[in-house]
This record gives sequence, structure tokens and C-alpha cells, in this order.
Amino acid sequence: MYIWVILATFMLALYSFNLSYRSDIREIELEPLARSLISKVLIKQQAGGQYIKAHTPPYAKITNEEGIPVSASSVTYSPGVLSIEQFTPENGGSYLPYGFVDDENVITEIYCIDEAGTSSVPCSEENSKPYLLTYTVLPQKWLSIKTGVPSNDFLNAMKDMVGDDPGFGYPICLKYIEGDSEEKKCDQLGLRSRTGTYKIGYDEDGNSLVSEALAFEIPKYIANNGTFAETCNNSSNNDMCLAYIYKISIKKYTE
Amino acid sequence: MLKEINKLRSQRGSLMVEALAMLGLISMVTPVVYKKAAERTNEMQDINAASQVRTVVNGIDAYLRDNYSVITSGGTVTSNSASESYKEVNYADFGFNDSSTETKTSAPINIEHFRDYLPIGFQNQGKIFKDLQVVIKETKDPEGTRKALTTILVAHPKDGGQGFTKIRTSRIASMIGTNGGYVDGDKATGVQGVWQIPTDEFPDEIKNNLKDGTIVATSLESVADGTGGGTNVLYRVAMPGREDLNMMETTLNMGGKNISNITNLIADTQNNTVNIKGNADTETTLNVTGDGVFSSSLKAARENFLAEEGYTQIKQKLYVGDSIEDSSAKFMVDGNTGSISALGGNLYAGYYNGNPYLRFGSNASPRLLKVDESQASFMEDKVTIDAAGNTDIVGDTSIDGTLAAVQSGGENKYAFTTDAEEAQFYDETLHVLKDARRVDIGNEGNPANLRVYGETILNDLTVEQDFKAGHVAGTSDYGLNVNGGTGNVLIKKDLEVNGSGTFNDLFFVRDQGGNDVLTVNSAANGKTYIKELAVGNSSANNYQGGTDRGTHISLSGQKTILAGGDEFTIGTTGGGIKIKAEDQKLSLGSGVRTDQDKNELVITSNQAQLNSALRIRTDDQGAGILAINNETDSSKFYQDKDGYTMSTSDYPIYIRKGAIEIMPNEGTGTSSDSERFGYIKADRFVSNNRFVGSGNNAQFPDGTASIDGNTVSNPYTYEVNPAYTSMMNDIKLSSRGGARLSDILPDFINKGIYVLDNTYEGNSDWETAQFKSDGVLQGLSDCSDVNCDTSPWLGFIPTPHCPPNYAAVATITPIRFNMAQAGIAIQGDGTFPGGSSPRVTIAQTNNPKNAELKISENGGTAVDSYLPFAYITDNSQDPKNSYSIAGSGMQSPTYWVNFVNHPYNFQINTWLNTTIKKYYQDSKFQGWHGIMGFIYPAQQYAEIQGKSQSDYKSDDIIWNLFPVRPQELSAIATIYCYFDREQYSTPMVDPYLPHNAAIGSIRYGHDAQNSKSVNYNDPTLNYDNQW
Repeated sequence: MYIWVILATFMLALYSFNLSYRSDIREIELEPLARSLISKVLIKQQAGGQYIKAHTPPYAKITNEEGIPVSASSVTYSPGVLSIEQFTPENGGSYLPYGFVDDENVITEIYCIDEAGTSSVPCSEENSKPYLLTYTVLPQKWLSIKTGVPSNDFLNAMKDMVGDDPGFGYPICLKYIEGDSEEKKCDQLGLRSRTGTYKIGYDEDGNSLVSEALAFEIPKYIANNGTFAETCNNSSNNDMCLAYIYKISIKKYTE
Repeated sequence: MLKEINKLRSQRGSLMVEALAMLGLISMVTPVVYKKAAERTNEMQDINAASQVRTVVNGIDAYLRDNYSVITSGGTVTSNSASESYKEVNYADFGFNDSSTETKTSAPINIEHFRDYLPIGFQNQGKIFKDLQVVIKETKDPEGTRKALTTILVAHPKDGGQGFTKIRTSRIASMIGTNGGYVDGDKATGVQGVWQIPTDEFPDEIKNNLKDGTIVATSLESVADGTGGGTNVLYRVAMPGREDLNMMETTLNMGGKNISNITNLIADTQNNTVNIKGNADTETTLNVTGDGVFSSSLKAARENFLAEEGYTQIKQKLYVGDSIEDSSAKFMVDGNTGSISALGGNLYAGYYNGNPYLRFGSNASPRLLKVDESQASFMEDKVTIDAAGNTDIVGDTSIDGTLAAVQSGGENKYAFTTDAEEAQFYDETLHVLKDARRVDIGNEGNPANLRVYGETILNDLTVEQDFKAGHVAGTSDYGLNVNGGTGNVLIKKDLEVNGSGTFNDLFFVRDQGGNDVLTVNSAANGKTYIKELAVGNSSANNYQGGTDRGTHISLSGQKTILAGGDEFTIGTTGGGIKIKAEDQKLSLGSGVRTDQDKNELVITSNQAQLNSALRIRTDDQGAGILAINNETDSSKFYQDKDGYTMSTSDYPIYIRKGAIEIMPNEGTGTSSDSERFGYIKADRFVSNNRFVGSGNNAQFPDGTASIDGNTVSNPYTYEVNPAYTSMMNDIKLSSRGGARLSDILPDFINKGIYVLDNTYEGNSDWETAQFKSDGVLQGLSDCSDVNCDTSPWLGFIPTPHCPPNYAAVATITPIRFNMAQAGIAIQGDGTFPGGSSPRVTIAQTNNPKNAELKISENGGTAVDSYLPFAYITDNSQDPKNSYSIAGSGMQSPTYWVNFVNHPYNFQINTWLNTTIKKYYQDSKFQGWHGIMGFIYPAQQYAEIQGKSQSDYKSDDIIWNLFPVRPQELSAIATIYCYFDREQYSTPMVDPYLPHNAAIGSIRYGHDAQNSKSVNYNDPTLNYDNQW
């Protein structure tokens, strides 16, 4: 009998070799992989920000009738997907870090919408609201089977890399359109980085505020139009996206 | 129990089996254990290796952030902790600030140089890696302005990578993080392909030693903050020596949130000023809840409020209370004017009309007291005292005592003093006596004068002596002088009486010379003399005389003299023409009157003489329709259009004795008749003298004339009637070089062409024969066949209808005729015309070859024909010619020869004649006969007819002695109207022409006694012959 006990012990000992001696092995092995995916989104978003800054007065340049570059009076970027040529023009230089390999699955796009957020307008218009959005589809391995949202490993990587930036996260419907239809249609799409409640700020008296996790409300035009809507707000597919969105508030830098 | 022991004893060797089984399992699993243990060891090593690399890369990134500005400016970075060999690194290649976007690569840097940023005790040579090398890449953005520094750490495996499988390498790289990567072939690849660097982009020193399995790590988020060496993080705690880490380098946007628990807000050292302002140009508000202590100056409201040490200044207005209205403020001080308002505006000290004043009152009109520089007023200005001491009192003033006014200077001299009984003014000059109810000015021994500069209203005025009024400025005269002694009233200037004036005696108006210009004598039979009367509004022209005025009445103003009643007559006492107005008419004498109904002036006298011009206009100001300027020996009629001025030099229409001249159309380019000149519109023009003739051409008083028994009316010597027929003598055409129309008109006018041919048979004398109904002469009929013997009468040529004085002419021209024929005469059909001899014709041969001479020997009856033959009576005689005569019974000789088909022994149709013969019917010429045929002298051809020459006269001719067949003759007849210039007479004139009589008078001269026209020719041609 004791032999079987020994055997069992031995087998367990063997099995223990499959366990990492580090409790944070998942953080060491898995999260870096998640971080690499997140990095792509972050780097392209930052490069997009650099691109927008370079096309915002007084850095924005246009060519006059004599072919001489002069400062533009308004922004010179326009709505649409930023291509690799816009990040790395042929004449040299790049907004992307050295060596960065552009992933076609990570899309960076500029939106310029009106006050109501329902239609696209030229970015040079005074009342346009520019947004910079970078998003990609998360592979299934990073999604929780039960909830469909990113797994804890991925969420931890998001937190480590970005933190509580409300403009970074995965799209989730914040509000559905009321109706009797079985297929619910989302009325307001938002970006959320984690669920649950947590402290997010302090009131004017200095007391901490505890509230539900905030989400970045994606303007309806962005949520319902374009490739982002087809990819990340489409009820016909089960893709979960990772997105990072800026609301660009500076239309002219002061020198 | 024994049973159990026995049972146990029977299980001998089971343990052995179990032990063996276990040993077997252990032996099988032990290698797995070793493998697992080794894997675990590797795992730990990989984790450590990744940690090492991550730590080094983070340290290098910190190095780049801290030395960013030095590196990018091409400076040298000095390490504090590194050994001498690696203490300094020069980055001269990175210092170019051009706009080039070329990537710069530093030389490999030993890891020892970064020891300041590595953990203490860091070992370059480890268990796994050796010779860590660093390469710095400098990149630029596309604009070439922003530099980014990227670290590339190359960690060579210590065993040369032999123990590094690709899986292990990739695992290490993945553990490093996104920065991690490894060399695979010709490139270094990051985790999950995030980054990739070709090995060619490494410096040669590194490139040549790069093997597969070499770990490469980059600072993926390149350093490019340019914060002057500091991180881009604001430190919450004090950083001694690194105060810049506590310093913001851009504007901190609070996003609408608060900054609480501030102890001091310290201004910058440069300006030493803290500004609180809103966005852009908007103003903001500083709310201080609690005490505010300003140790130095306090300025507010754009420095309108200053609180300095020692004084407080308000530059504008200071309001105390809740009202900021000047009129209702509890207390207000105006810093601009210095005025003070208090008591809700009831007290005001300030300036009024530029003068300082004090006011007690609630509005601009002082109620109690108003004092200013000019005056003081009390009780709503009822009492005012000005600066000169003048006092106005509105309302009653009662003084119980004596009121005395002292003259200026304070002398004891009363200007005014009054008591209950008397008031004295100005040293008793004026006394007002209460009881007497009288005002004395001066007194009997000391008179005084009263001078009133304004109005004086008196109920009653009695002047005992002289009265003068209306002083004339600059003189000592008065306009009105009433002499107290004589009572005369002298008015030196104008007298205007608005009411009535009555003169009971004479009324004289004299001029400056003393001459009467108006005298009104109201006595019985008195008369009124007016030198010159001007009626109307008074004006200088009306009543001022002049040498050109004379005795006349000029009207101005209404310009109307109205008489009572229905008529008004102006005339002279000595008779003469009177002007009478009655019944809306004005008549001048008996010859001129106006007819208002017809709005016309009627002159019934024999003539109206105008010594100058007469102008007729469309209205009072309109253009003149007709203007007649009477000049010596002529009258010029002007169409005074558009104010055309009459003058003697130019005129639109000039009518003078026997002539009318019309202004030429010069200077007008329009085609409108209403704007052109120089034309006369009329339907027709006729001569102004009538036909005067004699005899049959006499003119009757009623204007008719008789021409050859035809009565015509209104004959004119010429008439131009474009609508119908104009009649004039001749027209000379300048376009034809001055040729007269009569010269260039053709004398012969072709009126028709006829083709005639011989198609009638029979006999008819066209001299006497008449026409049948078919238009053919009696005795003639149409040919029935081609062999008929045609008549020389070809047909009738009708006469043309010619204009007056044109003769009918016809010509006939043969165009086809049978040429002369030669042959043997044979008997033809019928007899000769007018005779009984058988007609002879010509036997023609069509082929001379058939001609033969035939000798017959045959006695007997001669050929019963007119065939010539020759015979001989015997052989000794010459042949004789003869021909047989039919019916002669002549016996043929013995020997005779018939000449049969003897050619060319007789010729006929040699004399062609074509003529026409006149034909009259009922004494009216109808036309001509067309005659064409062959004629023969009658006497010469009498014999063949069986007649003798004595039967004919010498000039008789015979037409178509021999048969002429149909269509052998043809001619063309042309008829004309011919104007014989020398032969025309009245009978040739169209009797229906109204002016035929006039034509005769023209042609035969105006002078009825002359039979030859002397006026017919053109006088300019200088010849009498009319043609």
C-alpha cells in the first residue's frame, strides 16, 4: 500500500513540474504577449497623435501657388484611415518608432464630426470635433469564454501599459434602444477598460468618489459608420476589439 | 485469524511484484523528471535573462531621456560611474539640425557607459549573456524637426547561442516584453513581429557577430520628449538638485477642476505678478470668500480704484448705498467733476452751466435753494438774486415800512423811495401820487422828460403841445409831426392805413418835385386826376413812373379788369374802333372777333395787316405751326417747329410772288417723313392755268371744253397724278444724259407677229371681197388636199391698237416659197382664172435619167395634149417643132417625134411678190390682207390663157398663173404702232383723254392765233424744231 502512496507522491511530484515555481508566471509569460498586441495599438495611436500635431497650426504646412510651403491657418488632416505612407512618407522620416512593423490589423483612423456627433464634416471647419481612434480585433485567446470580454490577463496588461485612461479599452454597449425586438440594437457604444466600481477621483471637498467604472462614450457617428462600426459594433459577428480613442481638443498650438 | 495468516502466507511475492512495478514506473518516469527539472531551470534562467535585459533597456532609456538634449545636439555625455574607457561618448553625428530625415546610428556603446543608470553591482558578463552592446538610433519625423532616440541592446549569448533554440530565444524575448526580440537570419525580429530591424542597419562591429539566437531589445517607445533632460513626469515630491522635475513646462489645464488647499500663490520672479484672467479676451471674476489682505497696493476696476498706503483713490464715481444712480444715490462723489450728491439727490453740489452751485432739491429745478456763481435762487426760483445784486421776486412782496432804493455807490441818494402816499423815483423826477392817481414826471418849475424805450399802452393820450412820433434814425426828424399850434399833421415817410380814411376836402398826392400826381376833389363836379394809374399789388414798377410809361394802365397781380354786367366796352370819346367784350366773345371794331366756342379768331374784314410777324402755335408754349414773317415784298411762311427762330436768312417755306420755296433737307439723316424737310405731300399737281383755246378747243366758263364735239372738263395744261395718269409735255432724264423721254422712246412699237401661208383655194378679189364669218374672204375656202390650187391670199392681218398719234404699220416678210420650176407644160386642172383655157401646169421630172427622146412613127391623131412634138413632112425637111392642140383635129404628120419628158423647156414661178392691202370696214380701218404669190405680166401670158394681149393693160399682173400648191408659200407679218414725229394731228389724239384739249393748246401754242407751236419746244434747247 505504501508503494502506491509513494507512487502517487511521485506522480504528483512530477505533475508539480508543470507548475511554475513563480506564482506570477502568467504575468511573466502571458502578459508580455498581450502587451505586444497592446503596444501596437498604443504605438500607432501615439504616432497618429504625432501626425495630427504635425498637421495642426502652426506646424501644419500647405503649398502656396508658387510651390512654397507656408503655414496653414487651419488643420490639414482629414477624416479617414491613416495609411502607412502617411506614417512613414517616402521622403523619409516617420512618426512610428524605429523598426516598428505596421500591422494591417491595427487601424488608425481620424474622424471629424459635427457638434451633434451624427455626421462627418471637414476637419478644417471651426465646429468640427476631431477624434483619433486606433483599434484592432482581439484574438479569441485573449477573450474570456464566459463573458466574451478580454480575459484578466489581457486586462492586467492593459492596466499596466495604459492605466485608467478612459479612452482605452474594449467597446461595450452602454445603452440599448428600448423596444420589443429580440435583437437589441445598441444606442450608445462606449469604451471600457475594466468593470466594477473603483475610485476614480475626488470631489471638491477632497473626498474620494467611488462610482461605477466610467466608459468613454463613443460618438454615434463613429460607432455606426465606417470600418470601426463594421468590425467592432456589428452584432452579426462576435469580434471583440481593442480601441484607443483621443478627442483632439487642440486645433492650434500656441508657440 | 489463522485463516488470515494463512491467507497472507499464500500471497508470497506480491510485494516483490509491486516493488518491481514501481521501480519500472520510476525508471520510466525519471528521465521525464530530469527533463522537467532541466526545463524548470531553463525557465528560471529565461526569466532572469529577460529581467536583466528589461532592466538594462529601461536604464538606457532613462539615460537617453536625461541626456536627450546633449545627444541630439551632438554633444558628449559623461558617465560618472563608468570606467575611464567608457566614460565619455560623443554623439557628434546626432548634432545636425537640418531638415534631413536620415536615420543616424551611433557606434556601438559598451554597456559600462550606462552604469549610472544600471543597478548597483550589475555584471556585464552573466551566465547567459556576454558583451552587452548598445546602439543608439536617431530618427526624425517626416517634417525633420522632431528627433527621436531609440535604444538597441544586443545581448550575445555566452555560449554563442548554441544552447539557445529558437523556441527558447523567442520565449526570452517574449518575457522581455514588446521590446524583446531575437536575431533570425538577416533581421532582428520583435515579439509577435511588432518590430523588425535588418541586421544591415547595425554597425559593422555588431553586424558581423550577429548570430541566430542573439537577443535584441529596443526601446520601442522612443525617447523624444525634448524636455531638456528631464522626464515628462511632474514629481509630486521635492527633488533636490532636480527642481526641474517639479516644474511644469506647459500650461496646466485643470479641466474645470479645483485646486484646493493652497497656502500661497507665488508669482514668478520675472514679472512678480499673479494674473487671474479668463480665456482669450474674456474677463473673469475673483471671488474671495473670507478675508482678503493686501499688504501693498490694491487696484481694482482697471485701476479706477486704488488703495495705497496712505490713501485710497477712486478715479470715477463713488456711490454709497444700494443705488448707483446720481439722482437717487444715498451719497455720490463724482471723481470726474467733483460733484457731490447726497440725500437721494436732494443735496447736490456741483457745476450748473459751468458754474459751481449748491442745490437743495430733488430734481434739476431747485426747490429750496440754488446757489451758483451767477445767481442764487430761493423757493423754486421765486426769488433770484444775480451776481450783480439784481433781485427778482415772483409773487407779491409787502413791505410795512419804507422801501428805498439807494443808488449805486451807497450815496445817500434815493433812486426810489415809496411810502403809503407817494412814490418818488430818481430824485423826484417821477412822482406817483396815490390820491391823485397821477404820475408826474418833473414839475412845472423843473420839467423832466419821459423816455419809454419799449411799448407804451395808453388808454387815453392827450398832447397839449406838439406831438412827434417815429424818430427817423440818424436825423432829428420824426415821421409824424402834429403841430400843437396849427394842428397840421406832417407825415414825413410812408402812411399805411389798415382801416378806412376820410378826406372831407381835397386829397393831393405830389411827387418829390411838388407836382400833383393824384388829385381828388370831393367837391361837386370835382374830378380826380391821376397822372398814372397802376392797379394791382404794390411794387416798385407799378407806381414808379418812367419815360416809357406814358399814360397807360398796367396790371399786375390778378391782371384782370372786370366790368360789371355782361358787356364791357373800351373806346374813345371821339369814336373810332371800340373793343367790346360780350357773350364770351371779344370783338375789335366790326372786322375782328373771337369765337370762344370755336376757339378761333375771325377776321371778317377785307384784309388783316401785320407789320411784323404772325405766329400760330399749338398752345401757348408749344411749337409754332405756322409763322409768317412779313418782309418787304414777300411773305415768308415758317413752320416754326421746335422753337425754330424766324429770321430772314433761313426759312422752311418761302412763299413769294408766284413761287414757293421749301427748305432743303439738310442735316437730317432720318427717313421719317415727319422729321425730314424739303418735300411736299399731295395727291396730284395740276397747272394753275386752264386750257385756253379757240374754236373747237375753246374753254367755257364753267371749266369744260369741247374737243371735236367731245366735252371734257377741268382741262389743265399739265397734271402730275402718280396714282393714275400724269400728263406733261416731256421729261428730260438726267440718268440718260439729259435725253428726253420722247427721244428715247421707240417710234416703232411691236404689237404682234403673225405667220401666214397659202392654204386657201378659190378666187377672190381682196380689193372688194368681204369676209365670211369664219374670217376668210368670200370666194375662198380651205384647201381640201395637197393638190389644191391655192389663192395668193394668205390671210388677214388685224390692225394693232395704237396710242394716240401712233400709226398702225404692218410688214410682211416671205419666209418660204417654192422656187421657180422648169418642165414641160402640160394641161392641168381647170382653166386659167378669168378664162376658159385649160390651166397649164408643169410636168416635172424628178429624175433626169428618165428623160428620153422618143421617135414615133405613127400617123394619126395628134396627142391630145399640149405635148410638144417635132415632125417632118418628108425626109428633106428639117424637123419642125410644134405641139398639138387638143381638139384641133390636126392630123399628125407622117413622121413626128414626141418630145416626152423633155427637160427644161418651160419655167414658171419666177417672180415672187409679197404685199399687204388695207381693209376697211364701215369706214374703219381693220387691218390688212396678206398677199403672197407669183405674179406674171398679164399681157405676156395672155396667150397661154387663151386670150390676147389686148385683153390686158400694160401694168396688169396675174397672180399665180400656174397652180401653187398648199404650204408652198409662207410669210411672217409684223404689226407695229408707229409714232410719226412729223405727222400727228388732233384726230390721232385719244379723244377720251381729259387733257386732249390741253395737249392741243400746248402743241399749238398758248397763243390761239398761232398755228405753230412756239411753246412746245424746250426753251433751253434753243431750237424751234420740236424734234
